[in-house]
Amino acid sequence: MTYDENRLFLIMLGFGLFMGLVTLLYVIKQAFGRDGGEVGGWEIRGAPGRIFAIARTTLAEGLRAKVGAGFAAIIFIAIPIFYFTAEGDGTIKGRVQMFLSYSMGFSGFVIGVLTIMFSCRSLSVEIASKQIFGIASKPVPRWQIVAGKWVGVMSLNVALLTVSTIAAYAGTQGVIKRFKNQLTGELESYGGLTPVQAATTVAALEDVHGIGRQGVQSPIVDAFAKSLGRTPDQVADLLLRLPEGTRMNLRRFDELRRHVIACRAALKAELPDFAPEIRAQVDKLKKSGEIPEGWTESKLLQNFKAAVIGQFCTIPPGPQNARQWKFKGPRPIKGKNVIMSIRFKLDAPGYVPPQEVRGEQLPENTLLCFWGFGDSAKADYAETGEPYPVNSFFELEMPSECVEDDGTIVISFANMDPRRQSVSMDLANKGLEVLYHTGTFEEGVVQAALAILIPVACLASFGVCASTFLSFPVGTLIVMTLFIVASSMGFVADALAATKDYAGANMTLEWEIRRFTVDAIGWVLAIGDLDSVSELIEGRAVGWAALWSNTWKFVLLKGTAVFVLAVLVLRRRELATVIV
Amino acid sequence: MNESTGDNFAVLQCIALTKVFKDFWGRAKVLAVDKLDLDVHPGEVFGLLGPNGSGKSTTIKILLGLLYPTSGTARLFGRPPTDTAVKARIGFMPEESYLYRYLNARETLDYYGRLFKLDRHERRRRTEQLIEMVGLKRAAHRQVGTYSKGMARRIGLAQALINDPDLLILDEPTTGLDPVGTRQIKDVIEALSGRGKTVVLCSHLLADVEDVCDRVAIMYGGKRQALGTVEDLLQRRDVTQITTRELSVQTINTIRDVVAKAGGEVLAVDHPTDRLESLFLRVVGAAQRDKIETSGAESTVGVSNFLAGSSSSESGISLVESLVHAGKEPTKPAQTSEPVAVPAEREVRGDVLKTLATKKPVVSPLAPTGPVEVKAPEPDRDVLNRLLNPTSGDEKSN
Repeated sequence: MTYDENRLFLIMLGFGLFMGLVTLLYVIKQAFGRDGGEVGGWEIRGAPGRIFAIARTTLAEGLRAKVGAGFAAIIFIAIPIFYFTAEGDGTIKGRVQMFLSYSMGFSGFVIGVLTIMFSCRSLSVEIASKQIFGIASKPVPRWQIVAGKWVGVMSLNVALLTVSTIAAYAGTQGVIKRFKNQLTGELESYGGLTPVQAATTVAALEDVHGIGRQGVQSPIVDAFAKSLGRTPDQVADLLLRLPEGTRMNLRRFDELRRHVIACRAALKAELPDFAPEIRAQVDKLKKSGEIPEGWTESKLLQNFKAAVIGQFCTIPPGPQNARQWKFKGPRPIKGKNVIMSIRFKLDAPGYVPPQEVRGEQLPENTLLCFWGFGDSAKADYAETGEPYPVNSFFELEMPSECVEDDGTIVISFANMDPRRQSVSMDLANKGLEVLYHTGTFEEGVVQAALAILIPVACLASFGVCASTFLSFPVGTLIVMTLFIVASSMGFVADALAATKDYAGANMTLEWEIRRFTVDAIGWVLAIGDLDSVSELIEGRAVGWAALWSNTWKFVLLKGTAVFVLAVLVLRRRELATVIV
Repeated sequence: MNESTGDNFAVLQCIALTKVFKDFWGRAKVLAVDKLDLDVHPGEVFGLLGPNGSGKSTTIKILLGLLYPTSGTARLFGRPPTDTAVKARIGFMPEESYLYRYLNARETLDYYGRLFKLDRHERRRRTEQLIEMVGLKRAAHRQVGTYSKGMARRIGLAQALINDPDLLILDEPTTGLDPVGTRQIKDVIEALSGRGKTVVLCSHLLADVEDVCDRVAIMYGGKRQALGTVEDLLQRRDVTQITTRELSVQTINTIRDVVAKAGGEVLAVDHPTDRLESLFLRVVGAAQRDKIETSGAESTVGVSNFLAGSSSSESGISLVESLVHAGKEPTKPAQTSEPVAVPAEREVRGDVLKTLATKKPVVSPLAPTGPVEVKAPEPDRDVLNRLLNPTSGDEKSN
């Protein structure tokens, strides 16, 4: 960032702060600017009943009014359309992932927009139409009116989200059932099985356990043998009679079951402590006066850290350059039936051409690598190697026996590709994770739905607050802007972060102001930081801890702060005022 | 102490109450209420009269905590109107029925009952009684948004009564109501008044106020222009009226002579006419008895049990009985639905009120004057005695 750009930033920042200040003053004027206001009215006794009554009426209005019904109709028309049109990459996994992504993502978006419209009109329209006289002339403290409206808006959201989640879940099961029926038909036609045998065989896919990879007998064979009462060889013969497409579909269904219709937790790799090394580098630069102009110490430390970690996570070819990572997390359950996997993305610069090695063809854009699971000195140590695709995520199942008693998992990696291509993994962006099952798919769906509710609850607070002192269109415009900005928060955060670390000579105060402002903007604009739909389609659990953390930050803390502001404004507001 | 401010036990009290509406920049633009002093005592039916824009509704809204006074004080039951605890004792029927369009009548009343923390059983009991009382039993399942204006007003009345209020504030209560509904409002006022409840009636329909109010205040330009009992305000000292059974022409002439001899003047001798309201109630009552179908509000008379002070599940004033006797069994002679002889003077009194209410005040808007205190004159006993004594024989002959 240049000096002029920095100036421009500060000018824009000043303008933004001015506008923010004007808005804040207006709110304060509304809240405290005149005599009068509610006396007392903080009692808790009887509050649940009144809040429930107001919420119920708000909900009834939402359900019976055309706006609420319209939004519900949009969702319920869209989900069947997604059911019939979602194809993804053509595989069952892609189809399910796309259907889940569209239906849950779309429902979340529509419910977000509905929340904004419904919450922004909740009080403003009642005040404008004087319906509020009916409540305000009754013994209802105004905080209970605000709370009732919020609960009413959220009740509508919960109702809509529940139904749309059930529809998405049912749709997913429908897609899977349709696929199973197709598999059953193919087993009957090509495998010569009776309808009952075919159905039993397909059902047995749900009980496949163990790792399937090249050179090892597929666990699907074991499951089929058990369900059909045949030997593995007989099952192998049966599978060989099937067309290649059907065999692929059997594998893909197994993959879907393990990687999508699942609820998995992720562990991130622990890195060695590079701090002393980085500190030494920074001190050396400072001593020699070679710190680049405009760089702060924190930026320097961050850059060094990124460089060192990048160096550690870049693996040149050859066994001597092998790396080892440790993963620590909640102790996973050990056992033959426990499904664990590593998910990784090998980043390789440029095109990797195909090559033949000892009669074996290494495909293009793959790298021959080896993974080791566990302590190599122990009996449970397992190793596997094959050409893995580069620049895309790949999941590889690992034996759960390699987990140490204290929950530690040691994973080794060696780049053994003869094409002498270095490879790297971006650990900060899920470049290497250990995934293990923690619950059922249904649990994952519930967690994803709850995660959708968190930003919606925060938005509802903003909307109800806006409706206490702004008209419906103005309130909607402001909260909608917040929603759009918050939805693209990653982009905004990156843009803000780019400006954050610039500091010219003698610009310490400006830098501090900017840093504080950027952080504050980031905090104000954020309404949730869980990408639950992405997690869901990757078969990941959002996690109760993450849900609680987000609820605390965005509902209990921020939502309550906004709620208190709304109450203060409404307590002071003249509900029958006439602007002349 | 001043009559308006001295009663510490007043249900409703305004002391120098002033409300100025301002523009966005805080500049004073409209002086809506100007140093208003007012007391309303327990059990009183008080009328707040005035033409449009006289400050009645603004005063009511201040009393309900919907507006805050610019200066002065308003108190209800000795507490500020913005105190939520006070509102538990108030029933309010706004000038228009601002109801939730998507709720039906039952849901609406249930909702307001919940706000008063009534238990489920009591909510149901009162809801059913009120719906029956306001004649919306058949339309109870319909959404309020589909109601006619009059039907919505009836639900507006019912919601104001759900808590059996100690103070009922009615803002233009008869607007949009048919005569049956208007009669019902009056019945409710009487029933509540009979139980010692206080009613504040804000209206510019003078006949309604005249029928039911004990005292009235007339406002204009935000100021109180007159205050007193209805009788005090309406009584004409320069005219005497005698009401008798039908007299012969000869007797009337004799009376004329007596009056002339006494130095008086007979202004008019005629037969009183029925009131249109009474006629209307009779006709509708007959239609009800004939069970003629209607999709609108049913015409009912009487008040619900809990308002009438009865805890019995059987109606204290049987609805059917009320319908049958609609307009026949008045609770007060002055408010009977039976065709009664309304003296010509009553019409004159209406004129007086109208004149008072529409007369342009001579006071400056910014310099308030004290209220007009009207004292009732002593009746002219001499004229009465002379009038009656010579004609006693004629009356017997009649």
